[in-house]
Amino acid sequence: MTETMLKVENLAVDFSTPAGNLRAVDGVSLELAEGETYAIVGESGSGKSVFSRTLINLLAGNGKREGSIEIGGRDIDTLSKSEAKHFFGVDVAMVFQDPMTSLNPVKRIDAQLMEAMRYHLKVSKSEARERAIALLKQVHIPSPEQRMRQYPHELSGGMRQRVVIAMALACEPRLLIADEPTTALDVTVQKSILDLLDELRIERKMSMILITHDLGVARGRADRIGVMYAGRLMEVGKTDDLFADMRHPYTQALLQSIPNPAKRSHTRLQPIPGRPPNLLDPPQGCAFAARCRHAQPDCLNAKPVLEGTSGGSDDHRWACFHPVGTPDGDAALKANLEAGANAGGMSMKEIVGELV
Amino acid sequence: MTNVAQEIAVESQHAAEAQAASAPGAGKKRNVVFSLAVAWLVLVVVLVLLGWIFGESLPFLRDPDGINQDALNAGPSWKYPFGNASFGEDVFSQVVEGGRISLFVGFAVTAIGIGLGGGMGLIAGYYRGWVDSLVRLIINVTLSIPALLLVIFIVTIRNQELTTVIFALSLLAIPALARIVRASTLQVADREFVKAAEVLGVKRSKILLREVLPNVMPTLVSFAFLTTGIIIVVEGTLSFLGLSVEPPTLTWGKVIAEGRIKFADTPHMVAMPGLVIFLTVLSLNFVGDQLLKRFDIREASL
Amino acid sequence: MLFILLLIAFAAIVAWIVYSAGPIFALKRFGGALLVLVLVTFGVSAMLSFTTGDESTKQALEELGVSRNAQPCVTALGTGASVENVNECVEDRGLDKNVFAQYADWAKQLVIDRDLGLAFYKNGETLSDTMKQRLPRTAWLFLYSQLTALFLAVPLGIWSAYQAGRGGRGLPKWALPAGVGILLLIGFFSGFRLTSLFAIVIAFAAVYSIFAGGRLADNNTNFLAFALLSIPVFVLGETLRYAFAIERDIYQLTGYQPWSEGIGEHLKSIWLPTLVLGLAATPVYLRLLRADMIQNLQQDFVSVAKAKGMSNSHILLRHVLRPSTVTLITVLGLNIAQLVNGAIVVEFIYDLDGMGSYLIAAFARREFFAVQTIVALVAALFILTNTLIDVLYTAVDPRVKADDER
Repeated sequence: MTETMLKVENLAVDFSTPAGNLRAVDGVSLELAEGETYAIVGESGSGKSVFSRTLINLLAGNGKREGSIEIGGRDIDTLSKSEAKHFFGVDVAMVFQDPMTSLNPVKRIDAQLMEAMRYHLKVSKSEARERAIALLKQVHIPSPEQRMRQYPHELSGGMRQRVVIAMALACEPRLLIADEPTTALDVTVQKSILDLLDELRIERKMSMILITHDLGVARGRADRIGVMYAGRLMEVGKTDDLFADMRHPYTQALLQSIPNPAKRSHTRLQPIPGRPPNLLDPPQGCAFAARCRHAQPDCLNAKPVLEGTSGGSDDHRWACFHPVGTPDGDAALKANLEAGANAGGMSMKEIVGELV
Repeated sequence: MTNVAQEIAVESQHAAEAQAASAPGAGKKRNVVFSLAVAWLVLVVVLVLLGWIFGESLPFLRDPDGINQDALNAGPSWKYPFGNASFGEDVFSQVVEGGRISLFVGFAVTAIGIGLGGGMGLIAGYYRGWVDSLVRLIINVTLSIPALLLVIFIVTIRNQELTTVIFALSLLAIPALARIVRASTLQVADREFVKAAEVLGVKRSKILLREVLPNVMPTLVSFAFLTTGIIIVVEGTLSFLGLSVEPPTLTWGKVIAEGRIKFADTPHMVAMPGLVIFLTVLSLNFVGDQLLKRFDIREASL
Repeated sequence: MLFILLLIAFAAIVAWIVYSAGPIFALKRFGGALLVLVLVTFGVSAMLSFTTGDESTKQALEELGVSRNAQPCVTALGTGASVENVNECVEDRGLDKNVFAQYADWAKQLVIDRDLGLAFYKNGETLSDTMKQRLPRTAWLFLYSQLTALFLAVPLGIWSAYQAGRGGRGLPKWALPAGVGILLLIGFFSGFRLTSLFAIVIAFAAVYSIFAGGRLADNNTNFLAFALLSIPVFVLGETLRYAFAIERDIYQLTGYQPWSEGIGEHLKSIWLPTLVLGLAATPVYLRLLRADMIQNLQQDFVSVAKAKGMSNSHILLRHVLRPSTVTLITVLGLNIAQLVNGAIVVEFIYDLDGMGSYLIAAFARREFFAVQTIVALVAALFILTNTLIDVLYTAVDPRVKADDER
């Protein structure tokens, strides 16, 4: 394996709200090598966006971070003030979800592309302009010279997302964080944007954190996947391992809730019933227990930790007491089916639906 | 793609936010100030009304024109909380009596403004067409003359009677409220339930009264408070300039105007009624502003 | 000369607008503005002609041998006026004619003859002379007060909006009321003047807010603006006059000094009225800018700029302030009306012989012809400025389609 690009250890993020403390990210650790793509998958509200924003020092005023983040071998807490000034946005950059609102509507494209270069790299105006045009070419924007003088509202959504990507690449980052880069786009454009990100990543040997709610997207693009729920990683592993040998009931449920082209075309989708826990008043045990088809009484009392047990390769790990595909897990499922409800009291009919 | 799980998650987030907003302690501080503002308004209105009904038979009121040789130009004291005027008149009683005109004008003009202006705005905003053009023209024409200039103009070419003052001030309130209500009506008329009612063939006048009006009401109520505050200020200015109702009728502005003549001797005659106007207007503004925030979800989430 | 220069500038702006926003659009807007202007002046004219006293006054006038509608002339000329003089005045002003003829006369005199008429009928002083003398005072007052207001409101608004999204220093909430209470107690027993005590308390609150930062600072700024907004101009003006000109001798009510007397003398003679008018306008701008900036600060493009590693000041000034200023300029235009109201009051309070105090004098003497002209000029200024701002707004910001709805 090559050099480690990103190393996050025991990251936790708390927000103090009028209604109390809210832990949005809870004890997340992960490592990412140079040139790799790591996908973080979860429903909205699972803390994946907060996680990604924390990586680039974008916490809101009432947020507090614990744990360490190392980017390119540098712990971001040890950066001096002047180093930090030219670190975020240079070594690590971010692409946001909605290209319609990511661009300042009253500034021309060129000004928005050039400002980071001018600020961080202190290049001359003409050089910045040349670089900006080159960047627009790289993200496959036709006639970039003309686009430079336009306002964001004159571009289509896909074009804008390309500009946003170009903006993120302006200072040649080594780590790119893409927070749901395709969610707001038309399906037809989604693929081309993801292809573009892949292409750029390989060309520039960047590492990438891809945040998505879509396991399908993650499967096609990521080397490794982390499934996040209620601020915790539920299951992590190499993409192939994870899909070949799914262990966490949540991962399984998530996969069943999206269309799968490999299956018969009229298979029913299985939504996940219930709601994610209220993070202001988090459950004592496993966060997913209330909606889980495997949930047993012990799930309600203690939080399972992320660990690899026999049967998986060493970096395939999951946080579950009764994992899928183990005798214990099967027994738990069977017991719940017989009882008609899981340990949290949710009816199994609702959880498993008509599959029963 | 539609992901049900995602939708549910978003919903739960909203629920959590709503919960957070309604949690005890979140809006508490605001409520304290809000109650203080309401309490002040009630106090002022009750005092003025009591003074109006019972007059000097009340223990704390005296004849506002009563001469008192022992307390010429005296500052505030326990006996005379607002001090005394140049012939020893009790300023507190003057302020209580002056409140009659100031408050009455404020409330009357607001009521007229809401009735006529609100009606104009509703009809213009809902029926559109030539009515709307006409109303917009009236609004633009009236609002392009500075308020005070217009009021002074009308009062001087007519007379300084109460009805004229109310008429002149109404000319300010009507277009201002019409504009606000019209904008609000336009928004409401664009919403689905109104469109649905139209598609179902409900009579337009019925939709206006049953669907549009109730949804414009919050805006109207909030702006009623704000308008009352503005009108009290304009009336105060007018009487301060000596252009409101003629003497001997007292108003808050007039007490201040009298106090400023021998300012070095009677600063309390400016300060005390000034404070009363300030607190009243502040309370009205605060209540109006808070109501706006409470009704308007978009602004409340800021 | 100045008139011609202004005309050229105006023509240039119009040409640019026609070029960038299209002739039909410009025509519609300017046509609409002209219609409003004509209706305003005609309305004033009509009101004047309908209110020439009640029936008994008219009969009394008739018995005196003058026209039934002579009442405004009688007031303007004063009690000692002869019948001939009054009749001449009635003839001059066309009081016997109908509304339309009166309006036509007035408009012809103003537009074609470019004659503003008389300021005071009795002594024959022309309005243009009066304006030459008085208008600079009011104009400087306007200009300085707006500069003061912007000078206070813009930095405070930006700062306040910035603090709204920050953690702050977490100072205890009771510290401010406690501090104010202690100050008041000390002040009360050591015999400070009330006005000094008030200034000290405000200064303490300001220092505390600046030090505390965060939501607390934003709330305090916002509340202060709210309170300032609720003080009527005449109360504020009188209070400051007491504090600076009566209790202390910091501002002398010596009357206006023009620029030719030296800039020091000029500013010395006008700073307090300027401050009053400026403070009255500050909260309007402050609250608007703050709300607008907070809204813009929550936009995604701010996160993007932060993720690009841009500095806070860069984001505030380059990304967020720009879209917010457009709204500010619009309100600046609308606030002209408020300024005129304020000028009338402030000039009255500080005995400043500007247009505001002329208006009051003209009203008192029923110089309605002059009043009508001034109302027309003010309305024209207001309508023209706002139409220009409106149209410029559309021309500058291509996203905003001309919106007739609002």
